[in-house]
Amino acid sequence: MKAILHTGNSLSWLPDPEDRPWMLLPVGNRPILEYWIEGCLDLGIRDIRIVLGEGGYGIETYAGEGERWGVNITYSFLNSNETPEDFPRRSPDLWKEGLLYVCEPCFPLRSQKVLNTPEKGSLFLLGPEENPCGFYVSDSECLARFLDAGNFPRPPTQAAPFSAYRLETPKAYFDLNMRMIKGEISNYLAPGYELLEGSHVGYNVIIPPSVILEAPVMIGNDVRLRPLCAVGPHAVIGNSVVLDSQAELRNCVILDGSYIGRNLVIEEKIVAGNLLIDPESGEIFRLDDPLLLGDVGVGNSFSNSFSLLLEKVPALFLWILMFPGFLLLYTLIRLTRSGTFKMKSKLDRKDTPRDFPIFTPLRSNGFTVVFQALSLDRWPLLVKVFINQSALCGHAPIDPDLEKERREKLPGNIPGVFHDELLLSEPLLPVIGDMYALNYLHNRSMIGDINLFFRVWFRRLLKTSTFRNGEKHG
Amino acid sequence: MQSDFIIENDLGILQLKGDFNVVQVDDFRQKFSIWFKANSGVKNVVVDMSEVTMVDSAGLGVLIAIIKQVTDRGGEMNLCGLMKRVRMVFEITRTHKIFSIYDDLGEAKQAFK
Repeated sequence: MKAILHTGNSLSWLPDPEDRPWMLLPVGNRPILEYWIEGCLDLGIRDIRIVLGEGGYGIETYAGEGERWGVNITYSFLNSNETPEDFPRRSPDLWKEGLLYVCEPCFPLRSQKVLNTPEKGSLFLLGPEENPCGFYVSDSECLARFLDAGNFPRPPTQAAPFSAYRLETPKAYFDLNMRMIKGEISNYLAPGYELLEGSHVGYNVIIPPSVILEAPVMIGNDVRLRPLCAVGPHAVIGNSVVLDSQAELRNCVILDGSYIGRNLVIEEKIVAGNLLIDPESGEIFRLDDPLLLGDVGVGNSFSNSFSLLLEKVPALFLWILMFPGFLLLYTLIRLTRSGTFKMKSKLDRKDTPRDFPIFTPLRSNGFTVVFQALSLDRWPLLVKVFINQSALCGHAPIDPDLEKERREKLPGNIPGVFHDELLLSEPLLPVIGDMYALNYLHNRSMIGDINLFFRVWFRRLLKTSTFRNGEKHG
Repeated sequence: MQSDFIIENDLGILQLKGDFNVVQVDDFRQKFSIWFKANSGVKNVVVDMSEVTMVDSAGLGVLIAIIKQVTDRGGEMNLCGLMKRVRMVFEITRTHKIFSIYDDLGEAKQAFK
């Protein structure tokens, strides 16, 4: 018996699905994925195939190989030309013994702690019969029909031990959390465990004496509450949340990594970073003021501040070292009218459009080739490092007008004087730029920056032919 | 890195072994271009990465470059057998949306039938 859990479909009401795939949305204070894995265990399923889509990295990082639950989790991708029903048809023999199949965003809603084990040969649908989110089948004939034709097996032979609660709207998600916190969460606790007085507080939570907690509340791990906050009743707070002084939360769901500003009152709302979602109407408000709501994450960490300080020293050293060469060669370039700097609008580290001086060769000659090969064209950009508009190493700066979509895809913005775009000599596809930027933002480290700096520097030095042929690199 | 180029019923199969990074990609790209030009009957390509232990951004860049060559000829390219370490690189760079990725060589070949 095996299970296929599709995590690829994104929730239409939740922006940034890459950062918040639906399987990692918390219900109570645990991601939906965990409830599904526990559901599989209760049905006697230990082989789980997770089909990745949006936010695959987060899911794989969270669930690993399933050792935490004693299951075996493997991963696959659903390709763009496939539907979820196509996936099990790739290797039908794998599922012959039976299958639990979940293909839409939904939650396994239990009415009791212990599930009745399905009988052999049974079939039940997850969710309403007219519009199910998946099924469970242990009858090989039924399954073969599904694998052949792609239609959900019917009719069900028994009632499902849990129903699938669809998460189509923010209201459904909000209501589910409220149901959980009002008591249904006890159906998901292992026998012998009880939720004391309707409250749960995770690990590493700092609560000053002046905070008022009114049950039922659920607080995740690594949460900071500042003085004079009032939390609850019916507040679900995820992991790594910071609640500033005198803020009040009741009847609300705060997703992981959110910051709630000072004196704010959040009621009947879902907060996801800087997004305020009204569950009733489904309206989403993006607040651009980090003093109100914000993300606790990229750009605020200690390591970012540390590297910011450290990169200024090498930038100053480079600026002094390159100055004589820049002065000499740029004077010659201007005299021969073979190149100039043009100001182009790019987003700085704080996502503000700024003018960046970009060297534009007007014709290729020895001066422009040496000028670019020695990276002297980057000399004016070093000034941007001193004033925190750019990093010494990072990803390619983003054009605020032409690449708005690209910025939205990235979890942060660290434009670098030295960046990775020079590694390919074929015409750069936009997707390669995105790929480099994402790779950089995920794996950013001081050693990585040093590696990147030398790689780009030497690559430019060795690839003088690309400058000779007049290729431009932004 | 070791690369083998096989043709089965006009289906090109590239079997890669070892690290697929900035050090090796130039050599692989040249080998692929020569092989692909020499075998004009090959339209569809499967890249078997079951023995690739590591991929970096340069490796991904080359895979994107070769998918372009394949699609320019009217064919498709499937990847298969990604190890965890390799799969994570595809996930964080979201390049899994560009490629068709299958669990094993059999599935990847089957997809062309």
